[in-house]
Amino acid sequence: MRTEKHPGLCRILLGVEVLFLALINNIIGLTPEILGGRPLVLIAAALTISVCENASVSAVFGAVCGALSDLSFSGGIGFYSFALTVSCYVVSSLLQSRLRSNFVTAALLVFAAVFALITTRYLLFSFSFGLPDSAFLYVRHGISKIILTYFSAFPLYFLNRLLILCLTGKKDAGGAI
Amino acid sequence: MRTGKNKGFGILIITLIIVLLMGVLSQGQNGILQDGLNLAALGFFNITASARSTPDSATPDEVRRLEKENAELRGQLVDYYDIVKENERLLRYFEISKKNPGYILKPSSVISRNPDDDFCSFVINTGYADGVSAGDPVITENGLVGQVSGTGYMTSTVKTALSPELKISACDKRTGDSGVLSGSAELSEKNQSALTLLGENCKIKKGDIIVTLGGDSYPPNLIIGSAGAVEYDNFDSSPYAAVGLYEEIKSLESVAVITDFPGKTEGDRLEN
Repeated sequence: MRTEKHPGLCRILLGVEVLFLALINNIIGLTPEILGGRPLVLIAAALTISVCENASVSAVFGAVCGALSDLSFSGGIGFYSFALTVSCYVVSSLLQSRLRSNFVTAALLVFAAVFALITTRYLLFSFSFGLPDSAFLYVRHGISKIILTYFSAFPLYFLNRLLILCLTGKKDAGGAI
Repeated sequence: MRTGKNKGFGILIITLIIVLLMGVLSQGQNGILQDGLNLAALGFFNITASARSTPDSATPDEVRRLEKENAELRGQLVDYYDIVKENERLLRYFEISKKNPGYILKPSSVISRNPDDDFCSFVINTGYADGVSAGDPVITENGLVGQVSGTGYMTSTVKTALSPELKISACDKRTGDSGVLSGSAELSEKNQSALTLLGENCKIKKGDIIVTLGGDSYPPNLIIGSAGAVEYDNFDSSPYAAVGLYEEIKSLESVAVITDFPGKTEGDRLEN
């Protein structure tokens, strides 16, 4: 039996965290560029929330993080809004009902989601503009972006997990809660 | 259990529909949301910049007073440097305006960069309130930088000349050989773009100056960069020349938008 403490406050704080990340993500020189890529922290944030939250809340946070990513990246709601909504819903559903919920499963699922999202984005971009050297672009920028985004998910995971455990009174079950 | 699953799926569908609607509504000009986000980023950047010059307050009164004075003076010095820098920048654009009396320039600062764009697109602090519109050329004193791809009330997004999304009619100033300038992944690493669709008998030589050909979107003779030797594409063997941009795109801090020039028409706009 779970004792719900402050789920509303928890989600507000998660929302504030997402907005804060959206702000710092674009500021010049604040997020490091390593090997030609910078971490996409909003994607990491949405996926770590989906590890800890139920499918409905995950889908909503996925949509919000995706929309903020699209707005700051390209100006219009697009790829990330749709893809993150679906990814977060799938990650959360799998961890809640289909897979054994522990840290390793969660880490592997988040990696698979980050890899799929960024790779699909590169494929769509290359297809749209008919880039002859799209493989170079992916190797030079895409792979480092995947690795950096994945590693940025770890501190966010522990932060979100702490928030959710403290404020909602949910029980700790390894990876997902 | 079943109802809970259905409810979750229902929320997913509703969320996707909302995303779809927002996607349709956000096409065209930058919306309020993006403008708000960019302005918040600008505000946040200003706050962090000012926080860096705040003194430590955990000291005795006299030291605190002196530190406060010191901080004020430092602030004034920073303001002075900013003013000097701003004056130099405006003077450079004034020179461009003097040489090209038909240009209406809007000096702007780069406020943020897109971490997901490998071709260095950025956001500037001027928008349609300042007369900037999508498709306007963006320059510095060293030459063309890119094109405005979307505008908000007070901010605009700029696609750079390194991006394959931009196609710019350009020519060799010496020989008159013309082609289309477009970015490529490999060349963008070296701050270069490619002049493609060249004729078989083109006479471009290394070091030639490449300028815009002119038209509805760009005024003629805007300097872009310096040509490399003509090479042949690995895929279709078509000739192209790498063009090293005169402006280092990755380290840009300020630019100017040409909001109007002789020959500009409203019809030719970059779709975003």
